[in-house]
Amino acid sequence: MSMNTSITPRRLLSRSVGAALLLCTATGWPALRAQPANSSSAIPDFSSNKMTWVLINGTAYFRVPGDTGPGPIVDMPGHEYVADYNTRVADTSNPILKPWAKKLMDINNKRVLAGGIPFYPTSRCWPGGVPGLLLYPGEPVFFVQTPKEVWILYQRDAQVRRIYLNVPHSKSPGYSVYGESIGHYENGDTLVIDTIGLDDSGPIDRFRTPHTKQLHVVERYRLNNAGKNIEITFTAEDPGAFTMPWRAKVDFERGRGARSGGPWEESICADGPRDYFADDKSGAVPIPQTDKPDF
Amino acid sequence: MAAVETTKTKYPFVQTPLRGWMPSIVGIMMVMGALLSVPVLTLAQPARTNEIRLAEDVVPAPDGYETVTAKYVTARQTDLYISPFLWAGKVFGVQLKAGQQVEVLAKPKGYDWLLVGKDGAGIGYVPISVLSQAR
Repeated sequence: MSMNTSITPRRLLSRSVGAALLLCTATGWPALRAQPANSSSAIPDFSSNKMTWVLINGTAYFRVPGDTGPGPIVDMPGHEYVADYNTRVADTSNPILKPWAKKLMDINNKRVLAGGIPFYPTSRCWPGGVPGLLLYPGEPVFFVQTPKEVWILYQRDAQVRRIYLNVPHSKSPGYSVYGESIGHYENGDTLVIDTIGLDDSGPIDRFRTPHTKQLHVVERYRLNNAGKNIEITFTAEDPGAFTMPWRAKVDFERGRGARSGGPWEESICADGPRDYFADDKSGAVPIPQTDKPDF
Repeated sequence: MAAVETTKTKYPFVQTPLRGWMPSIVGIMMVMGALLSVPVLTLAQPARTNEIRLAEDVVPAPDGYETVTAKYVTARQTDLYISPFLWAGKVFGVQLKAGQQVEVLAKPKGYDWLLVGKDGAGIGYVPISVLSQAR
């Protein structure tokens, strides 16, 4: 296999982001080092030592320990997910689902059980959205923390999520795949992110749970295990799709995986050479493409 | 007595000469307002929402429907979807050809999609962007 060494715009962007990341982590931000780590007013350091974070424990949300609510959509009993990448069957008896959402998921369950492929955005090179981006498997995630913003960088297509610190939401944020995120720190170990303005372009998990533009997500990124893990819990509410707010969690681990701790690698998805499902009969959503260069 | 004085000071408007008539005037205005609003509310209702029938594997719109009066043709060949967004999944075995006139039953509220029908029943959704208004 030969390696393409030409500098594509995507590769340039990827390297630029990586260089910025290394610069930030190497020099450190004064605000991050000004306070003791255990102080409740301290800023938790998600970004030091050039380390990456990687999702662990699978690609589904888990119930938050102690949560007495309904929790996230999980596997249908008797159809527990094992290894096949694309064959999740949802337990639609979860009371969070409004009737239309349940019907949609029941139809998709039926199709999966009949041998269909339940595509979701990241499986077709589309952005994961919020909170769906939490479920990127095995690909490094970086944090860049500045006094006014936190950037969460994903190796996947060099996607960047921006969180604006200590400001209110815009009056009319509009709608986009990652919406508008504001945040603040709490207790010296937690970054709280509040996101609205999410478009309804994709489901929020690999069970293809739908949502509407009314989705509101509050995430809490908490450093634990002496800084070796981030526990990410979130609350999702969407009166258009859900009957009630619900909570779930995932875990990240520092420096885990073959790529962790290494350089920011170029990640090719949409502009890759193959579409493995181009002739699929299950109704695959097309991979994003454009006919014109857009700089 | 002191309490009455306090009330007068705090709510002087109740001491106007019309005080005794106020409840009646307000009541009449409320009744008139209610009567006047009936036709407006009726017009704002999507007339056919409750009459829409859907094929078995078509999902109701999350927030109901709005009436559509325009006629449409397909601008290009397009699939139908079981709910008004791309990731919901396609309706299998049905595809609209370019230039085909479509029977539009309604518009899902809040979505730039239309519900396409056949013989009066909804058979799937298409983005408005793939349709053109018929002349």
